[in-house]
Amino acid sequence: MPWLIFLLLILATHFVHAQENGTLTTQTENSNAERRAAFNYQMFCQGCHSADGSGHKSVPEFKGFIHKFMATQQGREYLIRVPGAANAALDDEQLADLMNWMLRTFGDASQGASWKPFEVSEIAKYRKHPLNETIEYRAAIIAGLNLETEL
Amino acid sequence: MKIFDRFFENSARKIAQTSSRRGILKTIGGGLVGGALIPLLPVARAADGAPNSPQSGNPEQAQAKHPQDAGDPSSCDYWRYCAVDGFLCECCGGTYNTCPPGTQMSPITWIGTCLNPIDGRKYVISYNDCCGKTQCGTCLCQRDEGDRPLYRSDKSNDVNWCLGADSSIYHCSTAVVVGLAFEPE
Repeated sequence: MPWLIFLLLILATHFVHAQENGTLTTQTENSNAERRAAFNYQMFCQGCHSADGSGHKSVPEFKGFIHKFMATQQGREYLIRVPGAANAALDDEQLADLMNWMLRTFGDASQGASWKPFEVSEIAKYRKHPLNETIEYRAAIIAGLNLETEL
Repeated sequence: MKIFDRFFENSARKIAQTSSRRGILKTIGGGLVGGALIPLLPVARAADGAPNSPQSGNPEQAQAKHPQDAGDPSSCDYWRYCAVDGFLCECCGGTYNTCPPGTQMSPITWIGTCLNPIDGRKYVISYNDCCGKTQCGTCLCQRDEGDRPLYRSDKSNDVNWCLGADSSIYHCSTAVVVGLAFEPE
């Protein structure tokens, strides 16, 4: 009997260890994706949209606003079809991480749970159709959502 | 050995005669309190960088805004200027991260990375132009690392970034460290 208890203990330790390793790997992957998204924001967006997403003159602001586009399918697609996103030198996975990071960081935190994060497959589909008349398209979406904005 | 004994005895007696225990406590206490007050000075607060940026909550990124530094900021070889194309504000009455008086920093800019030779890490650099006065004309520097053609306008240093400022007249360029470049763990 003692050998059976000993064996069970070894198996249990192994199981806990494997689970911890798995959790650690996932945490590291999440942390890498998060840090890479923040870096990609600096490299590809911040130059015009500014560090806190407040925009400038004709550059639209994200701060406290970006999540509102997620209320409709058209708005959701718009965020990926704008030239800055669709033509960014990032692959689909990196762009999905970046857009979800922007929504979490600049969106209204109190409504953070109301939108579904972008999936990689969605990004690949939407970015194949970049917008030409971005300003008019954005204005039409905002009018449809009954939102008020300066831009 | 006697010489040493006499030397240390005399030194100890001299210190005992010319100082007081309470005086030492007062000096140490003053130093501690004074040192603790230094971060409250307005200069230190102003040097903290953009407080509203989403990366500012990250201690590593906050520290990254003050990297270990070496080199001459008025020389084109300075590590932060690896992708600059223009006149260095350091020679025009400003510094490598502030504009000269009478000019305005353009709010839109192009951003690249430079390798810091001191710690061997890459930093994200924002090349904000200073605008509103005619060209500075001194310390022309063109290094162009990572510069892309004009059709990749967000990664081109040939764009006049002063178009985002009140005046589109270019004066000089800064190189502001905004964070650490991404390296997978």
